[in-house]
Amino acid sequence: MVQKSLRQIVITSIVTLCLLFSGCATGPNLGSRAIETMDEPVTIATDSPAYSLLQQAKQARQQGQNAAAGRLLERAITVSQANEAAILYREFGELRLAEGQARNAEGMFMRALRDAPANRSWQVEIWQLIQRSREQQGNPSGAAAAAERVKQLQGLIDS
Amino acid sequence: MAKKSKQTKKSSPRKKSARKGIKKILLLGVAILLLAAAATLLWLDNLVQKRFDSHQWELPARVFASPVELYQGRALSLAHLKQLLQYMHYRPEANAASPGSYAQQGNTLTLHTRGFRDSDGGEIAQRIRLRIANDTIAELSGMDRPLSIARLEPLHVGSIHPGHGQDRVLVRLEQTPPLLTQMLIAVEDRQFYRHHGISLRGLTRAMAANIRSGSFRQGGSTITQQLVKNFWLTRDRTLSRKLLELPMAVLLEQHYDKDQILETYLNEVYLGQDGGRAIHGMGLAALFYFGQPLEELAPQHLALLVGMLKGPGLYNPHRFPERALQRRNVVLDVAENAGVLSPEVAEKARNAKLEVVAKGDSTLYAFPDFVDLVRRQLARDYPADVLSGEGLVIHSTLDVLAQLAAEDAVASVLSQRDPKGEQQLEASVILTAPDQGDVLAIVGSRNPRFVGFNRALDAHRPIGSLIKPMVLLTALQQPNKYHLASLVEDEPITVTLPQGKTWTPNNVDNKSLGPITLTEMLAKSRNQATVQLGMEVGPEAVIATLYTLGLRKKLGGNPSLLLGSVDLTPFSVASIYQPLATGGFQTALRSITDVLDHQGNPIARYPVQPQSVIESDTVFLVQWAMQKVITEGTGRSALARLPANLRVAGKTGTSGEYRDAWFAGFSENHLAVVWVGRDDNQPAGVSGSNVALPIWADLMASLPQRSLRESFPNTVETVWWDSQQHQLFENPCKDAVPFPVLLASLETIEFSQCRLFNRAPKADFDQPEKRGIRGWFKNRFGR
Repeated sequence: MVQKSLRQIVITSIVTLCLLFSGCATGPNLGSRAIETMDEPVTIATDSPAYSLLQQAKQARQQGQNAAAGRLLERAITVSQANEAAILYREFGELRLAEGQARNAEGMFMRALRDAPANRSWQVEIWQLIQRSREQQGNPSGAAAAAERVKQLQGLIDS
Repeated sequence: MAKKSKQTKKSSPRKKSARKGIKKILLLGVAILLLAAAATLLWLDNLVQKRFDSHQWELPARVFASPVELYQGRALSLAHLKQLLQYMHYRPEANAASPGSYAQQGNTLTLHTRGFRDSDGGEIAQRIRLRIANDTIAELSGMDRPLSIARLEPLHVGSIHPGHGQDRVLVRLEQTPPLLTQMLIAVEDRQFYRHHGISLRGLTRAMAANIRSGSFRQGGSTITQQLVKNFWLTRDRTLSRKLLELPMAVLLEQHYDKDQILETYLNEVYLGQDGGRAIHGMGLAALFYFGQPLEELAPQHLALLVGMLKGPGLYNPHRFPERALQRRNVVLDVAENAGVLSPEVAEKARNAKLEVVAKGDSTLYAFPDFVDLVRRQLARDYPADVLSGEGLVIHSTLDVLAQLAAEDAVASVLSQRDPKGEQQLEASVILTAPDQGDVLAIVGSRNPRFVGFNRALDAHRPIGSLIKPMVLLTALQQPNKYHLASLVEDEPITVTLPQGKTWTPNNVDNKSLGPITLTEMLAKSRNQATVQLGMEVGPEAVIATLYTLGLRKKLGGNPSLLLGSVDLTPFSVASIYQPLATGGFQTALRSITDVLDHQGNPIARYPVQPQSVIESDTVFLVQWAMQKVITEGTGRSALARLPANLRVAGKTGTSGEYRDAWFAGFSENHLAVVWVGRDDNQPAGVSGSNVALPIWADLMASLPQRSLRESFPNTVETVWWDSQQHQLFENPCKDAVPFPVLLASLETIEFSQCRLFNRAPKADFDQPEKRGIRGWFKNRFGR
């Protein structure tokens, strides 16, 4: 009985020590932060003033009023919350791309990347848009680099 | 007799012929006179028509502040909202029934906005209701519909008239209060709708008065004659002018109807002077003297304007308030007698005070330093005659509340530091919204209402340590060589200059700290370490970084630039700090968003055009180090003035012999640069942390702020630095503090092994380690 208890104590101690060591040895891997935060949704609250202005901007753009759409998007960015800006910059970039201002559009898309939470699908879409803007600017090497980023990101998504 | 008769008979034909000759001459003379008169009339007729038809008002470009956005969740205290409404001359009115009025019930305000046009269509005048709670708009609604966002109309803050110095706001007759024209006619020209340009009764009365006085004092002018005089003739009281004025008035009435003449008169009349600016027209006079649009003025206000026509200088309400009040009441009496005003309304108006905006308090010219920037930016795109004559409407980026906050911050700190101005301290501030490059406020001097040297735009002063983030950024752009925990020697260093001379910089405390991290170098603003690093990366590389960030000025490669011996304006500093605040994006700083014609039709936009100039993750590291300036370094005194938990970044700067004090810093939504010094560039005893920083912190504390983002970009990882042992750990270790590094740097770092029992949890930066045995386990096995 005593032997059994001693055995149990020894086993428990060994297990505890193992757990302790394993706990210490399993520090986070490099890059784990990126993995942990991957694929956070890129959203905008539909009851926010920024969303309201975004809808007005889309409507203005549909009616060919690009200047008005641009002003509405500037206002939307001004009143937006930090996590809402990415969608607005993307819309702004698409507006600029449609207007033939590809360099400006690329800047907007880069902001859309910077301001978005980590989300690979989003990044793929934005890099595709960057690729288009670089093509429009006559920058084939830049466009190829963007295409490569798209490929890498898609590979990560597939895996 | 016969002889006489003969003589008579002989002289008769001669006389006859002489008479005939005289007659002919007279006839010829009359004919010539008639012809000349006809020609003169024709010429005058042509002159009158040509000038009137082709007349275009010399309308200066009018500058408006940014419209104030109202939406649920916006940080806005009731006090600030009321301050804004006061600036915009909103008046309390039951139910906010008319535009430009408001009604308050506790923390709920009903506003009746005035409406305006903008490139996105603008806003209609409407009644909105908002409730303020905890210094935030808690609710916003329209009166009969839901509303997610609304705008107050932009405040008119200035005019640009480079050529003629005339200022004017055009008003149409249909916009003009009927009471104004009724009073005007009652006082100036009762026969206006009955005469044909001249009033014989008025002329006779004036002539009789002139004969009695023995001088030419009264002209008996009708409104039409006054317009002719203002439009075509001089203001001299001469007979010749009168002789021209009469036919021209008749001719004018032949071609144009009464309404056209009245409208032109209302816009042409001279109503005073504000320094070098002549106030023309009722529209501008209403804004200048009462701060309100003409259509919102009360009877007593309209009466004062009408009364001032007799002598704008004589009855100037700022200079001669009593005389102006008497004249106003005379007008009210006349209006009452003419049946224009009821006795009750007239009595109430007579009992009112003058109610003019105090001289110097008019918002029309309140922000000259900001309008100066607008004028310069416009001048790049528009010729002077367009700016001075076509009545462009300029929508600017000026944030009125932020501007007032910046002015207050300067006044508050300098009034403590140099209350009587004996130190001759001057200051300037530039505040921007970095995302879009919008300049929100500019203070160009200690006296912000003073039109003069605009230090924010024109004072080129050595920037001192403000350059150090650029030295750090230059190094961090080589991630395989430098990271924030890289060590640099803070030791005496001697640099050989191109001419063979040597330069040995010192630290402010004349001490040397030995090896320190790049973060510490920046946070503690160590000169020797910065020069050491700057010489390693090369001054040319630092200059290249400055150009990448947007600097336009040509710089030499003198190593002393590593400590900021480069003269820049606060505006230029704001430009190069902007990419640091935005995560690597540069956007030209703009003071204008839209240009509209005088009818409100959009004609040009100044769009936001961000360009990615530096990798965002590298800028993130610089931001992180600049946050340490505030939390642990030379900027830590700001913490006492800033809201708790607000993450901001910045850098102090002081030039040699304490001549210039700088602070440049930012949150997620505001970037501000502050300079303090003397105009004569003499030692002022000021440093970045003791004078510029308090102004910056007070300003930032008074604005709604968003913290700098805490989350790391995907390409940034955390390592741990033990400053005692000078060791870097891959994982948390006792006494080691976290540092962000680029993934690209990790391969080059030689990590030390953390001893087993020194291992600490990999926690977020602001989560303290849990203590006790239970905590020890939790720290190691998760929470």
